Amino acid sequence: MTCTEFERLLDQKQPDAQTEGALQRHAEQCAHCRMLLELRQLDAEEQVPEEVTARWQAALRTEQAKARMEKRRGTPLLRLVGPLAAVAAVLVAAVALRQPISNLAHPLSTASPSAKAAVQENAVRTTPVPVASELTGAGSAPRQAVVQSTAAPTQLPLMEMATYSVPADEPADSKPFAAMEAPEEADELIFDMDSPVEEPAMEEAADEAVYEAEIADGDSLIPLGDAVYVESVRWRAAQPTEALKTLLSAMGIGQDGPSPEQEEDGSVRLRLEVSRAEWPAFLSALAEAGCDEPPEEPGWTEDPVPLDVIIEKMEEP
Amino acid sequence: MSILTPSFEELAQRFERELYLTCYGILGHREDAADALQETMLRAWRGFRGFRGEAQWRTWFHRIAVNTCIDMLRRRKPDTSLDAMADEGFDPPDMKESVSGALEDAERKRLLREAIGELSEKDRTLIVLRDVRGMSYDELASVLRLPLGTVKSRLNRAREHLIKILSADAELFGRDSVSNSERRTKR
Repeated sequence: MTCTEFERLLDQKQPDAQTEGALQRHAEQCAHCRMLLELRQLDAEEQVPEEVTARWQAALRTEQAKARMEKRRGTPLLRLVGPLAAVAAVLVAAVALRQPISNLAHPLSTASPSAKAAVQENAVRTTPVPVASELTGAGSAPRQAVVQSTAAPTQLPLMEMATYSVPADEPADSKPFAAMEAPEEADELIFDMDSPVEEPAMEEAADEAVYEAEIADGDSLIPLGDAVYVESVRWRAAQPTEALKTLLSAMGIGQDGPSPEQEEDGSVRLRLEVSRAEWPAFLSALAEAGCDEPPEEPGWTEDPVPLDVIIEKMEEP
Repeated sequence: MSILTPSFEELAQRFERELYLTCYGILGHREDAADALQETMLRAWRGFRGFRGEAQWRTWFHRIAVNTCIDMLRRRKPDTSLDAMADEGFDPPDMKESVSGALEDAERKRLLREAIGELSEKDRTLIVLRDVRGMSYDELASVLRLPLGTVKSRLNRAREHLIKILSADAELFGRDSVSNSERRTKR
């Protein structure tokens, strides 16, 4: 058997007894292939510890909860612009609403009694105001010019959409609302006025509650939301661990769960969750406590993994 | 995503063991492997919706895992040397005496892992993916995004390096009767 044949047989998923025997015989004579055989059997009995599975699943649940919350809140740009747009719209509406009563007084006071009776404002107010040309006809130009000087047409409130009916036999010039020409783009101006400004804040509060509950359900050590760094710290056993424990306790870190783990090389490791605000102070305090391996800035990657990064890394000398 | 696309949870569970062992092989520490597995799963989940099917799931997950491991290796500080630890009173157990002669299976595996750990990160990645995890050359080329020929030549070199390291352990693979601690001193 050649070494090439050996490697090909080694790739078989479930080699039979005869193949295994052949592999063993060749491996006894060839150090290279013996190494390949040993390597292939290296992980045969290895299993993933349950706590490892639980840990990544909990981290994933937290990540998913965070993503759901972000989705509900919308994009950062929308979160920034949305409330401003809503406030601006409310201001525009408020300014516009101050004008209509005084403006309405003029045409009604000058209209004939029959015309007044003919005016029926609909409480629902869903139909656009007829434009001036439809009501006044061609001969109404002087009248229209006079009323336009009161600036009534352009100051109709945004939400004041009314239904008006005018008797067909009424002379065009006597129609009282001839001057109340609504802007043609009225429909476009009526945008989302239904959402009070306070509403998103209430929704966020509810989201926070759900988020906290989800994180608590995920067995997270300290539910600090996304303002958390997770980092493990290692220091040698000879270092003053008691001083470090005192430091951690003083900073309110790791009261519940983490306990130092002994590494094979004799060092000690502690898994921590530290809020971003506390992180710089924590680093300097660690150095003061005599830890000679202070953790570096974790630098978690927030973006998806760029798949071509691996090429650059492998190509580096 | 089509209806036939498996859920992320299904895929994560399917590849969990393989990814953990890949990370363990490259990083050499179980605790680091657990960290890397967690980070791999999170990165994979973030990129899951953007996956366009240009690679197999297995390849895609492994690419992320390898990437994560290399990130961790770059951030990791150099291991403390045994000599420095011995100066501070650390006394490593003499494995040779404990197995007295014929090396037990666990000891052989420990030495193998130790030898893999002494390879460069490139060589280690190739050895772990191909020789430990049994990935095909095509899959390896896809994970590392390297031409097939490059993968084969680099793998051969990596194996030569590994044999050279292992040959220092006479009972296992080598010819020279050099003890483990002596080999460390030489390096």
